[in-house]
Amino acid sequence: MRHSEKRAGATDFLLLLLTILFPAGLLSVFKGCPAGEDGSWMSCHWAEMAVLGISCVLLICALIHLFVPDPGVKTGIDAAVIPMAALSIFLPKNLIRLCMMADMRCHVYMRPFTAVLSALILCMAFVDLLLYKRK
Amino acid sequence: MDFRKLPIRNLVRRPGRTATLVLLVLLLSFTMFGGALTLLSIRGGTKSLEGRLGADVIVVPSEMASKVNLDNVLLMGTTGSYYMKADILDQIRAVEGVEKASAQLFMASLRASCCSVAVQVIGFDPEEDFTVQPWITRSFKRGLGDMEVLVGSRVSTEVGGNIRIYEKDCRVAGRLESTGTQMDTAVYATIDTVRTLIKAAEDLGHDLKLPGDPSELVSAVYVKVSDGASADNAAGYINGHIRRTEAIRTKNMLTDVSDSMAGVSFVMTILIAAVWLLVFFLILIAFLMILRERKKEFASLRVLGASSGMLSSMVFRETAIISFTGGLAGIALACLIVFPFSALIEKMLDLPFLRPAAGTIAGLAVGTLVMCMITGIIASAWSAYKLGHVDVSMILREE
Repeated sequence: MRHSEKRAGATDFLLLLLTILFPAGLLSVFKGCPAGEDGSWMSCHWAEMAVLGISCVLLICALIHLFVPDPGVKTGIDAAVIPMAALSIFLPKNLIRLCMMADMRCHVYMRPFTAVLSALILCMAFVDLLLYKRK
Repeated sequence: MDFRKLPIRNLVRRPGRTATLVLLVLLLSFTMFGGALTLLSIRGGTKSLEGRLGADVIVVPSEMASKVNLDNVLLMGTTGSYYMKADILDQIRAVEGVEKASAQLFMASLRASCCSVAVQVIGFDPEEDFTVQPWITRSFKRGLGDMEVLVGSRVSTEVGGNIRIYEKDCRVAGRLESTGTQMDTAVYATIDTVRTLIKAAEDLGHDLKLPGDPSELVSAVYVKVSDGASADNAAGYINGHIRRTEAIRTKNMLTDVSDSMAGVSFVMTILIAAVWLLVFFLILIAFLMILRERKKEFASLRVLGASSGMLSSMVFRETAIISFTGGLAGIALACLIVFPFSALIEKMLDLPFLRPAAGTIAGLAVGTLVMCMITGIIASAWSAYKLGHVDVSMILREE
């Protein structure tokens, strides 16, 4: 192993765990509102799809982050994950509108879950960035 | 050697041990802050409900009273759609002891422009109403016009925009203050507007199972008894003399809500106390074990000139850093769960939930942090005391 190459640390695994939980939660317990009786989707569905897309990209980033030993690549991935996680916090409601009633699934389950998971991923990537920069 | 930097260096050098202790304090602070915040929110919701419910008696159709849980329906705001003849209002006004009586007309729209769930529309008489009107007046000063609606605080639509119900556009005239109940997701209009919407639904072919013409129907009558009169007597008279109605005392409903709140409060208090005791003893044991493990280190420091007071102060500073970090992380984690998921918590508890003011939350956070630090410092006090009585020569001779 080259001197500059480091083995995966706890933060690499935590980042991967969070990024696995993110799409898994959105596809199961924390999914948004179902389609209407006539089969049409409300705007929250498109917010959910956009967040799901971002969560898949975050998962791929976390996988690369885990398997690539180069600290430079790892810090680069962390730097990319941070704005992506921030974007997914603001995507539902602020950038793509959700349903009108605050007691609907998209407000009760999908949006809070997205906010919490994105915030945790953002913090984890930030901590990881600091740790790898120190190394 | 800079003695002031030693506590931080000790903590950084043993990340596993430090992380375990921080996690213990995090658990304590999370339970204390999250539990207290949830309790305060439920208490705030119940208070808001008590303050807003001006009626002593609520009269609803008797068949509706047997079908659903009235506490949820009338206190939490899930009003549903049920109807009785409007002339019942005059009969109720004629009952002895009744000071005011005001009717409301409810409608759960099958499909509004916004949502796939039913939107609750509540029609009230602005001239006669004494239950919704005082709450509305706080955020909406002028009278409500025809086909104008007011939306609860949790209906995300813009004031000045339109909400389309049964193909009828209703102008959103204002937004109401938060109550912490499902009333916050309802839409309010005059009784005439709701009658127009009911007619529109019928025209579109929806069967609302109306027992007559919409202009002659109401859903509930709210009654206030005069000073000195008995609300129980008025409710009893209405139940005995006005057919097909059920009069319910609101005080009994509020008692049920208070009982539920007391139950939740009791469980939370026990949980917080149990976690506090657990964490206290775990920290106490952890510090005693650490003291045993670091005996040689402390003895060496004594040989290098550190007094027993300096060693005790080092232990206290290490504890303070751990308690502060763990406490802060626990508070942050509780905020990250309680604030975004407050609607889910409300749904699961089925109790009114109104978040306290920012000042109260900040006070609660500071209190939790202080409590965590006090707990950590008390738990490490025994270790610090023992350090003062360390026999340096004995320890260094052990190996």
